[in-house]
Amino acid sequence: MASVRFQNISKRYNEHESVIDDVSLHIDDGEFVVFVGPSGCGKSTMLRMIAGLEDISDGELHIGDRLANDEPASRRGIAMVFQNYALYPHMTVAENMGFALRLAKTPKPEITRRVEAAADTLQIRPLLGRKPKELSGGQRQRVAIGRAIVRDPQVFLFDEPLSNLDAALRGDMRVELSKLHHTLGTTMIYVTHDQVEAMTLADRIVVFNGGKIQGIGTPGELYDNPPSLFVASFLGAPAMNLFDAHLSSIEPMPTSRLASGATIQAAVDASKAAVGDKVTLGIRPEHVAFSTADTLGAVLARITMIEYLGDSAVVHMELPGGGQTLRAKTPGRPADLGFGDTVHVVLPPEHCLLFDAGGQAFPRRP
Amino acid sequence: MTDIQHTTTPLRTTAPSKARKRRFDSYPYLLLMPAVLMMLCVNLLPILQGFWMSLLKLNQYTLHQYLDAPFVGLDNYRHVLMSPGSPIRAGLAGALRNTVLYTLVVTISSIVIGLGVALLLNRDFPGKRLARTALMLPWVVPSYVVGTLWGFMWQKDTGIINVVLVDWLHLLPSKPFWLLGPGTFWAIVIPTVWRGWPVLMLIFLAALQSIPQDLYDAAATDGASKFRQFIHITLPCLLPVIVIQFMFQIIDNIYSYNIVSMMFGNGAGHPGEWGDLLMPLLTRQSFNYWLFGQGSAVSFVIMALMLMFVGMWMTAFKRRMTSDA
Amino acid sequence: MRRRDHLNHQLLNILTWAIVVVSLLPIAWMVLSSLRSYGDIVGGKQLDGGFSLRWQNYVDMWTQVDFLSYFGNSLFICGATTLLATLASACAAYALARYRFRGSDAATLGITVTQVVPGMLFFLPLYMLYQHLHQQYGLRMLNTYHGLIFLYVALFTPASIWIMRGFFVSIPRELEDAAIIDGCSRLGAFVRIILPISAPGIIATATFIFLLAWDELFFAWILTDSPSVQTVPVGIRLFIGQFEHRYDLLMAAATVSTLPVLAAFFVTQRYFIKGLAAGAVKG
Repeated sequence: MASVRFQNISKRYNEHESVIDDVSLHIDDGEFVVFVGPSGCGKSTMLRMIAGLEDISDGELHIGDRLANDEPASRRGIAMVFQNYALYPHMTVAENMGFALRLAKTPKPEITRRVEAAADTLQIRPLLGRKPKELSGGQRQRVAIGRAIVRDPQVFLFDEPLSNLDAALRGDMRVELSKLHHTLGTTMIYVTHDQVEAMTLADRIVVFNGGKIQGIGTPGELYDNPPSLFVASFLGAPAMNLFDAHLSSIEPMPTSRLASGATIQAAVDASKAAVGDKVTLGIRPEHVAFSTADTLGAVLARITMIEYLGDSAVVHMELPGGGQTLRAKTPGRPADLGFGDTVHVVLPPEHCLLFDAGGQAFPRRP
Repeated sequence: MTDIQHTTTPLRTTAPSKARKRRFDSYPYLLLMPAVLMMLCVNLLPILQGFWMSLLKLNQYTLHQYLDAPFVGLDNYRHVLMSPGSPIRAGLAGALRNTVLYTLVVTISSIVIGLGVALLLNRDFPGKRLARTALMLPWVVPSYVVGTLWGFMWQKDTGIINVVLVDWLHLLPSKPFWLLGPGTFWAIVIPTVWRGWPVLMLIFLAALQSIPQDLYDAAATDGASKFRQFIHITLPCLLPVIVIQFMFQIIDNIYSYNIVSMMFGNGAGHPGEWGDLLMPLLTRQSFNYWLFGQGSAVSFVIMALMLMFVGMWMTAFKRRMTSDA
Repeated sequence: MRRRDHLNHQLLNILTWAIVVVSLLPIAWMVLSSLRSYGDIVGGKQLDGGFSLRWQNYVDMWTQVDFLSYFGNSLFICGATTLLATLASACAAYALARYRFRGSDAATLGITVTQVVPGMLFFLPLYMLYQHLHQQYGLRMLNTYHGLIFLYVALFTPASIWIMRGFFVSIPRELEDAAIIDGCSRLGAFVRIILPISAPGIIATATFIFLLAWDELFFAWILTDSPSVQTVPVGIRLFIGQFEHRYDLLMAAATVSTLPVLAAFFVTQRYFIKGLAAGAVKG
């Protein structure tokens, strides 16, 4: 088990393009950290640098207490699970899992013992004699994980391992991975573009965009108090409602004026801003509440679509005078709402977030 | 609570600056080296040497002087292109004409037949695999065997072809000469096509099978007949492959040698006015008359022409060749 | 409507098989003629006179001509060429498939150019070079095994690189990444992982090279002059010069010359056809 530390890490392919730009990060021993972000944000490159598959242009990488920049991949104490499983097609499952040990000239009985132990953990014992092409996607993924377990690494690296599985299987595997982490307790670094996987698996999430870190925190922290607009819109489904607005007053509570004319209050500390500043107002769909016309701060809206999901419903609305859309999430089916209805909604200030023109969040009022 | 820590305790920083240098990765170069060296020796070197040789007077007397033989500038080129006294020049016009005609006829025939049979094989029928393998056999037969065999078959009196054409099917009134006179052209074209179209068929078959069935389904729903589907779907999708293969075929056929040289008996074989091709002519005359300088000049001219041809072809069809179905 | 489609289908089938038969007729004729007697062939009586098959031709061809030498030489030279050329082109193709480095584009361009301007075109300089190496440095290249093998390997490697590259590109990079993490060196990953997986492609390419080498007449004719080194195509050509009308023996020799490549083709045809088609479609 080991911690992983990035210090001012950069990666460049040539003079002008930086894929990773001055990133510093500390991952604790035994943590499950998820790197998340859109395609091309650099998260996979980060993982490959830890693995030793990519060179580090600048900065220092420490795995455990060793400087790992120039160590060959096989000596870093890491094991990696790939998106496409990367199982050697000409070897059986058992041979795949034992390959690394064979290369290290581990004695045969030891190899067998460890392979079988890993196979038991993942319940793939009966598959040991088969070749990868005879296995289903989920089975192959387990073998890939098993191959990593056998190496008894200090850090597990996962590169979008569930992307190629169908939705139901993905859900099951998520649970398995979580259980695995609790069983083994090893540091795990997991890369994905799927924010559901990030939210459910991570001890801490690191959000990447454009080669830089946009936010680090526990799922709860990043969900409730996203540090930036990017993080706010990336996590959570359906996505957070975001409105362009102007600050119309700051004391006693910052009030923003939307294009539709509605004024919404947000319980944040905007003391550093000035009246008239451009801001972005955000509120999660589940916090939008339906009410009556005479409630304070109620906003008029017209329903354009209702998506019924069984356990909940997403109500799409349009704000007058500008066509801004508002989404609300309600538990169950909203019996008294229909297409085209005009309703009143309330955006409670304690759930409203405010972001400045640069995308940074205003801190919460305690 | 964002958590970007900047540690201040100095960590082990041994030799980071040394590690920062761009490691020169020699691995791919090592892998490439044997092939590149060989290509330089056998392709580049002879071209350079050939160019120099074309500027020298190299005959049986001066050959031993190698590259120090007397320098004659562009004399060789002049002889080859203009003076009627040069044995190479004598046959060059005819050989050039033959080669161009031969190449065109063979290339077009091979592609058309290859495409046609590929279409035939692109269906499901019992024994399809067997048929495909059987059709490949003419290509597997060595080209010199092809030349020998067809030389035997083209015999005027006893050759099987004339026997079939005249004695059995009565398609012709009398047995023509195939290995003398104008018939020699067809005598070399037909075996070349026979041996050449199977490979093209294979390539076209693979290309046909990579056309998504969806396109045909959509066309069928739109009411397109099979013929229309061929014109509007199959041909456009195949165009890149056809264009590339056409070019390769032309290049291959220009340099044709084996079949011609084996077909005309007497070892070094003289194919006559209609059957002589560029390379056989060049080889024969250069060696028979010790005209190494002139021969190199011809080689150089051919190279220039071929490079021009390929250059023009690629520019003209660049868009078509790189488009994917 | 159905009925007509079915009829069309059957007609096309018949057409297909007709083409197969017509295509194979010359080969059948070659084999048949090899079993006839000289008298019959010259007399134009190949098809009548009963079905007396004269196997004696296949014995005579080895005794009347030094065919054993030629055949042995061909086997050795083509075998060695296949081995070496496959090796060289596999390494080069792998480098080009996996790495982008300065000079890789030039190398690819160079390979294309060697097809447009083949070694065959500048045979005179090559011949003179070989002579010169002997005169100046005492290095015998003309009329030697190694002289021919080196040339053949150099001639056939570029085209093979083309084909093999397609195979290597189709292998996911992740496999090598996984191998490196498991502890392989890059060379180890190539040998233990890539080579076994690309075995079909390598076999296909090796067969292709063997076919090309076995087919080579031009340089074999120019660069050799004694039966100790000369190959089958040269032998047959000399034979034609010597025994002009002995078509019976000639056809027997032709048939025997075809057997090795036929065998190689049949043994590897599955890989071969798949490989040739795939590599060619990619251009």
